[in-house]
Amino acid sequence: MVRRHALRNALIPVVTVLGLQLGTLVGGAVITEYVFALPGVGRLVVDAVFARDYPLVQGVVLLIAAGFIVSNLAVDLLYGWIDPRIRHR
Amino acid sequence: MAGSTPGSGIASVAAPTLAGAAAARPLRERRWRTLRRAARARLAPFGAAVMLLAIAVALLAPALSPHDPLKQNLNRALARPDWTHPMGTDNAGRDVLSRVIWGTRVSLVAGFGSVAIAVLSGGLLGLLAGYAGGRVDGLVMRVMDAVLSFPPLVLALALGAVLGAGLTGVVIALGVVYTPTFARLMRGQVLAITAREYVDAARALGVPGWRIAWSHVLPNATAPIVVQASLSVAFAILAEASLSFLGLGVQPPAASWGSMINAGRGYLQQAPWIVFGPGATLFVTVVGLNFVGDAIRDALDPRLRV
Repeated sequence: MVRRHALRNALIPVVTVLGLQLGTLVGGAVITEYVFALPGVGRLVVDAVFARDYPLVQGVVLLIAAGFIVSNLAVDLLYGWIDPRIRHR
Repeated sequence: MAGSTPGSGIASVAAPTLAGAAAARPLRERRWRTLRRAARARLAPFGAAVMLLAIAVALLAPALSPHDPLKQNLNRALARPDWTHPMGTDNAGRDVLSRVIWGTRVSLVAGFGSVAIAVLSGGLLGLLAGYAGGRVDGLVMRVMDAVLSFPPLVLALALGAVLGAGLTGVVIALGVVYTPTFARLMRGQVLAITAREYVDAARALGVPGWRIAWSHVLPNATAPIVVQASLSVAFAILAEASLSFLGLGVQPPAASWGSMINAGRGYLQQAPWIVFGPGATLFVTVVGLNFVGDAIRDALDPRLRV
């Protein structure tokens, strides 16, 4: 009963924050990857900035932004799955 | 800190005297509210003190710094904190305290400058979008949505790459990053205010549109903008430190908290004070500014009080 009635309704704000947090996470990962010398996209974009490699900067930023938008779309779709009363027009 | 308030003692003595558990519950809630309010009442002056101190230090940096922030003394490199160097010296023998003091200027200029840019541009765009409506509204807000779709730090990094490293680039980049927040806020306010009777009255009297927007809508829309601005300054200072940490902010040998933390990172084992000085200062400043922002929010909008 708890899982069906309480969890579902409680999940909605959690999922919202989850989606928004993902963008912040990628931003934070830039610093983390730099500090711990992890070869991720964050470090790639920092290195590209200092190498004045603008196409690479554009590409990575586009990739990150696209990922952010997809994650937000996934959150919107999750709403419908969690709470069937939410229907998109 | 909050646990030592007198309110908690009174409430815990009073609680057992109540008969039912149902009656005890609101009391407990009330006790928490009192605690929070007491904590906040003490935190706001602390925040204001930190902010004023930071501004004073930034203005009086040449008089306050005990040493030249750029002067190297390799004989005293990585020296422990003592009376001549209260925060120790870095790997080039430069006084950490003096560098922290000069770095305050950079941080405050970045924090207040970028938020000022964001408030001006975002406020005007939001006013335009909300007041003009229709296609203008659609266009402006879609552009703002596009800016919002980038993670803040990544966008600032990309803009910094285009604008070039340096304080000006960082201030403009952070200004652009924070613009959509203010544009959205302003648009929402404008939409709510233009539906009010006094705007209808002004329109019926034949007041020109720009004048209604400027002297009737704008002054009434400022409260949430002020709140958001005061909270954004702290975030902007943190973001400047992050960008400086990555090497995009002020260029060496000039000092900034973020770049000092980055430079001291390699000496964390031998000389942790190089990182500790700017790190602790950054922490206290951001926390203090957040307290100020919270206090302004509570003062302007009591309904939001948590």
